[in-house]
Amino acid sequence: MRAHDPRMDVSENGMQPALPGPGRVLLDQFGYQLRLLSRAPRAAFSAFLLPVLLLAAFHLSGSYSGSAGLALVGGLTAFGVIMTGYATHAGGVVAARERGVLKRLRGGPLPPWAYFSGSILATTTLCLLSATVTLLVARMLGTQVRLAEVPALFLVTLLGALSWAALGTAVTAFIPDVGSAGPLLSATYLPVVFVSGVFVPVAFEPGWLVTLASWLPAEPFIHALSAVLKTGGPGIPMPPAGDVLGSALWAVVGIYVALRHFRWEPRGGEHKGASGLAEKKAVAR
Amino acid sequence: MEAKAEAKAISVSGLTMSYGGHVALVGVGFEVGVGETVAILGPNGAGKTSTVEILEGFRRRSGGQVSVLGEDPGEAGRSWRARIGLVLQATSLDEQLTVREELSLYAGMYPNPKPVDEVLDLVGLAGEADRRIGTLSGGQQRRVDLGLGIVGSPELLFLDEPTTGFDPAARHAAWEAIERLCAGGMTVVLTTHYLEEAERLADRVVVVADGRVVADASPGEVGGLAGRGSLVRFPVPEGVGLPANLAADATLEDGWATLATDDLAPVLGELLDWSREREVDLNRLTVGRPTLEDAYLALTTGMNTGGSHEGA
Repeated sequence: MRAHDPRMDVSENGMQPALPGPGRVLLDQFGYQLRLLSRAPRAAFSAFLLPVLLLAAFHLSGSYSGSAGLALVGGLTAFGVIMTGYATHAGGVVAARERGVLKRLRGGPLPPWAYFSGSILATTTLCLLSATVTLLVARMLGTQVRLAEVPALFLVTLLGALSWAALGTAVTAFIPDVGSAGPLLSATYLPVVFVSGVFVPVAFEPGWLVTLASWLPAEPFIHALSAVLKTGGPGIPMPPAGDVLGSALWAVVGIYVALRHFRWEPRGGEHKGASGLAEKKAVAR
Repeated sequence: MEAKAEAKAISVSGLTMSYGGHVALVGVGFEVGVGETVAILGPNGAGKTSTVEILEGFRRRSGGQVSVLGEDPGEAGRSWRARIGLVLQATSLDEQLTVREELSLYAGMYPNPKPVDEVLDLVGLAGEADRRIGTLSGGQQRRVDLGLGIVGSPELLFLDEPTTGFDPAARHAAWEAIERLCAGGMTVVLTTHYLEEAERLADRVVVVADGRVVADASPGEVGGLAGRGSLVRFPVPEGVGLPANLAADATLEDGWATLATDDLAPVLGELLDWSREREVDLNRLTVGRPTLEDAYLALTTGMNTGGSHEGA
């Protein structure tokens, strides 16, 4: 005879306790993801160390002054955000999936939107911190970053980070395992950022490459940051509307692909379940 | 036992599952009563994990009826998921978090979680609460898995090979933790490769082979399905033949003969005569009931043993 039936754990009015509300689960997921990021060395490297090192290197080389210098600061700020929002974020999602963490989350009462929102918001927060640190270091090295530019820089960085984190979430569906995550992510974002004006202004590129870059997600973000930094003069600058729209559209594309193709269960390695392998065999036949 | 028979936590009938041309389950059916602990056994590739993943809501079935806590797991929502607990086949943890942080995170997802300190005590990790999970041993990490499975105060707990990879001491500690949970009224569905584990923890055993249920009874009753009532084992010295009247029914391996019989006395008589005539020492002779392992081997021999790592 069992002594206790947990189904009898009901509140005084006879109702089962309610599930935690959306605000609570979102806040918990946000805190959880932020904690994971704060303890991941790769996040510190991509968000803070590499952009600052590159900034210092360009500063020491002397190729860092005037309008070109401002464009470079914009490019390097975007580079840190893209690396963090896309590669670091997606790498973390793939690792969690292959360790079975996502499968466990999916098996519990957490709504999927809370996981997506919490992880993307945490990554976006880290990206905003990355941009802040990069711009502060640039200012310490002599770049004019005016207080009036901060709202526009914030808006552009927020949209850029959201779009790249959404794209990073989406691309995980096409990465089979942790081992291939690094090469696949690097192969998909490094060429894009290089042709989009991170280090060399797109004005120096052939026309077809400029056209191609304008359709990719890095160029509107990099261009918008540089444009805000180069505004100068009095007043509060506004980011170029076309670039803002471009980043927003890429965010929508990322979210759409992620919602359609996201995978919660491990695709390879020790967490493969019986049915997963059977599916694989059936496909192979 | 009567109460268990009345209320069903799980009811499965005619369950089929196909992946392309591969048929994994063929008309599986069984029930699990509220408060019961049921072990699902079977060789690799037999269909255990497919069955359990359908019950957990991870897989959509091809056909048949499935009810878990009164709902179809393929259609059930958050409220239903809050009533079940999962311990997956392999460890699935955030290694950067501490044990307490991980348990607190999951506790926050449920409407009626157990206090984290109580869970830490239950799984024997109170002393490791503030250690990062990545620094724990494999056995300790598995106990964190168990803690995550129970932190939501589930009515029904799925344990998919919960002690695989444990050393004997850790396995016994985990069994004690599971027994404490069972004593609290939780319904438990367990898959395991350790028949000793099933024998110790389960009220009932469901043996699955080739995608079908081939036995569904208590561990003792399944043991009886192995056939004859008693198993006799005795040493046979080199150069000495088996007793003439028993040779046809006995198997000889590594100097030991094994014989199953429903009528023990004549067999023992034959053996005593044989030992006197051949001067064989029978001090190491044993007589016992067929074990769950004997039954399991008898039921599954010749059936699909997979050869792949298709899980439980």
